[in-house]
Amino acid sequence: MSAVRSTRLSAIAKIGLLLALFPAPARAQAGVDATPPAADGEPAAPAPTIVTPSEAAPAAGAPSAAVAVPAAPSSAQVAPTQDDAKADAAAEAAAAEAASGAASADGEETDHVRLNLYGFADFSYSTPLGKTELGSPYSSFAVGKLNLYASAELGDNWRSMAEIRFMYLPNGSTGAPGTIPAPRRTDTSASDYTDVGRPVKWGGISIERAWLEHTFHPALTVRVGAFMTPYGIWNVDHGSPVIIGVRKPYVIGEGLFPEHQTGLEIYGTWNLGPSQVGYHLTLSNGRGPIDSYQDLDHNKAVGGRLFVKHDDPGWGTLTIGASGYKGTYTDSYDVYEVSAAGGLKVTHPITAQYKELSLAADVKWELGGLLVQSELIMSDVAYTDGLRPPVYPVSGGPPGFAPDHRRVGLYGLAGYRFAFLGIMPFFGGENYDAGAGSNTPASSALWGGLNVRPTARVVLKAQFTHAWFAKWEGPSFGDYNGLDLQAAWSF
Amino acid sequence: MKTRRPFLTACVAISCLVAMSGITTPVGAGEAKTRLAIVVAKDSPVSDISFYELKRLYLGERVNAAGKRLLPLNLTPNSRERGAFDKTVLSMSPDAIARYWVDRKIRGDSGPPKTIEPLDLLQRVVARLDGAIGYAPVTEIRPELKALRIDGKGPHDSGYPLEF
Repeated sequence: MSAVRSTRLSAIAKIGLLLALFPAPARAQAGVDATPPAADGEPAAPAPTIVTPSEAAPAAGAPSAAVAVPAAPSSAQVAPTQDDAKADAAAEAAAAEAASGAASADGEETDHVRLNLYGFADFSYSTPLGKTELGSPYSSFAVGKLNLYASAELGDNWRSMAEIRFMYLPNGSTGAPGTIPAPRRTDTSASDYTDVGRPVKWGGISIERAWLEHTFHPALTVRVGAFMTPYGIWNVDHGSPVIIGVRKPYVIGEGLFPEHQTGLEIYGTWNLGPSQVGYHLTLSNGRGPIDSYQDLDHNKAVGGRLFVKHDDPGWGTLTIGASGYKGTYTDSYDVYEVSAAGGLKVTHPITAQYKELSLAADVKWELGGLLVQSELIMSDVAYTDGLRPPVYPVSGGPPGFAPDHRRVGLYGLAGYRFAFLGIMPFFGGENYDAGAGSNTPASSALWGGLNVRPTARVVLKAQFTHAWFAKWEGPSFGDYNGLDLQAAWSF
Repeated sequence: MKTRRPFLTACVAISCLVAMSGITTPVGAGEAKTRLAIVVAKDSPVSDISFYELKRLYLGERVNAAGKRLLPLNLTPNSRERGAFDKTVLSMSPDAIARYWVDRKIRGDSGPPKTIEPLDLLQRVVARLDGAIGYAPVTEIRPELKALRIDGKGPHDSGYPLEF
């Protein structure tokens, strides 16, 4: 098996050797520089300045192998006028290596595929302020997200990426909130054979996305696999260091669109001077109990997003988008029977089914340090008759069946990032209506805080949230006040 | 009137101190500006690029020109030309650019253009790599490269946008 090398490791090895042998002149000779400090440039860039056309832009037929600026044949500097012959030799060697790398684009070798490993994590402290009937009354520390990415340019405009989230769950889980009666807490304790059988609690992983894509043209990229649903702003941002606040708006968390889908995505953009028009189209299993790997009906879900982005030197960048999703949720089980003729007969009785139509609109305005964004999302759910889930109203009264309903939510966020320490004060508000048949009334919230980014890779956040509920016939939930502190970082 | 004289004196003194300390920089006092050329290999079929395409290209988006995908190459962030390029084309500070690339990768998009230094080596690689594009001061363009017009304007035309 060919070696798949980490960009950083291979590059660091080369640079380390080079610098060890020729400490001062080697840097200029090889055209390498150490990773610039975050304040000076892209921290996401590979540490050394190694030209990797396969990662930067492997045009069709172009060399896809890494073009390492060659190690110094001597300690002479590659300067425009000092030693032209040596500089030419260095550049020629780079070009020759690029040409030889074309083989990997044909799939004959994968030695030059570079795997980029990176990720993000966050640590939070959350505490309710005052008395609350919602959630835990206790303050808690928690490592929330620990997500690892692996991406690679595969040559000839092929690219892949996987994102894995590591979790403490399912340990301690008690199932979906509101489940009656509450199930017992999951205990994942197991005997640790490396520690004389003492208990250890194992966690799980979630495959956030895993896809392969091929770009035919900037206006046409085809992606297959598991992907984040391309709707709105928040769901695509999704990583703790990227999103401004500590908590996502309630309407985003409610999943009016599926957060992930498994299937096919086509996307692209057209440039029209300072404006850009882009689209996403999706075809997937849709939402279901096991939608990551099996569809339980014949109705594939379809979705899409259309956006227009305008860039103006005076007014900044304005992006306006609209998204849609239409699918059918189905749950069923398999029944194996022997027919009268002696053959095997398999039936799939459906236990739950509803159709959903989700629509969303979003707007984002960036001007220097200013950020303003908003999303309006709605989802209509229509149950198949006879398959409506039971509802036990907390407001009292007899149990019934869930009606068709519409959920609607809206949030708005504004912030301004100052150059000093990357401080961004932000504030926002939201409203969410869970629709008819819900056991929660319409809710609203105001929140605000600070997002501080002392370096590009570290984000410190503080957020105060005040939430309240509309009056209704059911019991009062009271108001909720909470404070969340978070450190999020990418690595 | 008596109280105004000390005030004016103080103003003059402060103005002199500020001018001497270099806090303010005289603009256009005979200081020649440098123009930054966008360069490709001399035999490249590409001869023109729009300002916004250039910006998108260096912000990680795919841009095709003359039927080929362009491959952007950057100087390292601490070089003078890179700073000028980022400011005039991307309109972003070094900190903002650093944040931009971190965020972009977490969203799942591609990473930044590759960096090469020094300027001479970058130009030599641009000359040899199919589709490669870079930048250099107009006065330092290597003979095997050519400067692109930006929105129809060459580096020697008036109104050329890349000047620092």
